[in-house]
Amino acid sequence: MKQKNTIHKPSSSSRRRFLAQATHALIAAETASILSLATIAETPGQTPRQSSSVKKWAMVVDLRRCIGCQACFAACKSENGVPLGMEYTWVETHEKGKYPNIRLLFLPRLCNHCDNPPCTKVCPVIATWKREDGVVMQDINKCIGCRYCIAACPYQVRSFVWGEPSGSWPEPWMGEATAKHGFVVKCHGCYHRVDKGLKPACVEVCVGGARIFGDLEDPNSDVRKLIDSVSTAGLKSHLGTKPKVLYVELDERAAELGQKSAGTIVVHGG
Amino acid sequence: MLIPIILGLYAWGIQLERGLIVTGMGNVIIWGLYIANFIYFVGLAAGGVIMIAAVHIFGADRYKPFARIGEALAAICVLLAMLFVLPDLGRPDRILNLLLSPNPTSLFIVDFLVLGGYFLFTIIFGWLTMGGKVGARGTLALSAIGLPLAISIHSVTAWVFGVIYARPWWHTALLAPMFISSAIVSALALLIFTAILTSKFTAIKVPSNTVSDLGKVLGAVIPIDIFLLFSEILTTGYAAVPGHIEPLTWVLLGPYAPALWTELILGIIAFIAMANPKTRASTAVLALSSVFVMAGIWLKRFLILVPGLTLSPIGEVGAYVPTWVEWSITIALYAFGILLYTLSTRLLPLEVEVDAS
Repeated sequence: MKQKNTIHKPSSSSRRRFLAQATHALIAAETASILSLATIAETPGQTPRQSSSVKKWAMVVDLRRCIGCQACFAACKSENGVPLGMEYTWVETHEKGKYPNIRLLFLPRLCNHCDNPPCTKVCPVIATWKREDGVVMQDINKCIGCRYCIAACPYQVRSFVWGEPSGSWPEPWMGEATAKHGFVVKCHGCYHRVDKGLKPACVEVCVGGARIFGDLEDPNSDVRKLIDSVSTAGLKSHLGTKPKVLYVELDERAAELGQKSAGTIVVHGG
Repeated sequence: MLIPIILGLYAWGIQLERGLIVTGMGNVIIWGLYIANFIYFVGLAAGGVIMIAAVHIFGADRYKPFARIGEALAAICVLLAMLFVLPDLGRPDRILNLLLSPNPTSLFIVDFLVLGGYFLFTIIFGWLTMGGKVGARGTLALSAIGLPLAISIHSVTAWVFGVIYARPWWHTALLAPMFISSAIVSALALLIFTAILTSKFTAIKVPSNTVSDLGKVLGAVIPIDIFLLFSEILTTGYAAVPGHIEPLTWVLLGPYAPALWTELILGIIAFIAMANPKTRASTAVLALSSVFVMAGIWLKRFLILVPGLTLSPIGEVGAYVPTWVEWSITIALYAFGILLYTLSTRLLPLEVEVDAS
């Protein structure tokens, strides 16, 4: 591993303040999308932030801390009963550079719970919708299986149940599944845990603490502090989807060369 | 005709029991034959009425012998288009959710409404005109409703795909005009082919010189369709934008190239045959050219749909080979359409008297 990639240690408050000041200047020069993400919580009439009762959930994935262990993938599978061959979240391993100068990058992906979700717009029967706190939900018992949402999603995070799955089955957070196949499933932000004050399963188990989850409206939340202090980027934010999963040190090429599986190594070549 | 229909129902039964896993579709290429045929039949349904309504509105009386055949074909084709969506759904048993919980921002819902409305319109239009319930003025008024309605069904179908910005191959404002031009081309070909067969095998006769005249119209619209395609390819290929250049390369030179070049060669042969008055006069040439055009536009529909899905938004590359289940269901629906038309020639007064003067 390169020096640059040493795991970010919890910093002292003075260092954090310095970082905040330095990066504020940087952020100002960053793309408009990042700016708009930072201002999601700053809509007029909602200051001071903590007075708002509505939460806005967001996740920051600090790629400096991800070690590619797939614990989040496994935890999600067992928490939500994600069937074989389907993933709500997965970690891609990217091989960059040429031998002997090779470096591995890890990129966890999941539903971005967009603030402007293309999937909920196109669903003909409102089987998918965005909750007030930003979680993009999916009712597997309402879905007619047209797959229009999969076509519209720029992140390939939705899965269609093509045949009856062997092994696990979607956990009945929203009622027992009334059909064996033919509907769309997706990450629902572990809303059943979050509503009880717990963190999503993938965040809970993350070994390196790379997944940070919290309320954007709360100025003291870890996500809010991180977004305000370091440069973060969402996937394909130029599409205007306003993703609420943000990455620290996102590799642009890795973002474009995805593979929806937890095991495959994506080789970047020259 | 009943044998393929029964086989198709059997295949659909298997698909309902085991799921869409029995098709060639998958996580990357999520739509295939069913949706390509859906687009194709919406085009056939729209194109026919666009022509027939234009005939009534602009008073091109010599094309009137085609009017009722065109009406019957439009009703059958829009029905088939809607039926092609059914086997594509994972849970067709929940189809009533379209009515119970419609999402107004979904163009799927808008398409469902305009297609349903169009089907009702074609039935009422046919009942009024063929039943002799309306005169020339009434027909004109109905045509004035039918023309924009026909344009709307195919435009909305184009926008179902065109508004999806996650798929650059579809995300072009040219998609709706391209769909309309392809619709007119394929529907004219279907009308010519059907008129020839109907005149040959039934008591309903369409004068062969008017069929030849319609061939001339077909020859005139083929270049428009090819022009729009060229404009789209040039605009998107010149910039070589990632996400767009990959499907374009596959279509021009890669795995989809045989389909594209077949489509273009068929279209150009048909254009030459229709442009030349001598070849156009031959019924055999007319029939063959219209078959070429119908096959070419079918390939065009497939090439709009599937290459747009071959590159997933995160960069995976998919492959699609339809299975026997998909082919069986597709053939069954074609057979059902042919059966419906054959019944129409027996039961409906499709022949139009033309004044010799």
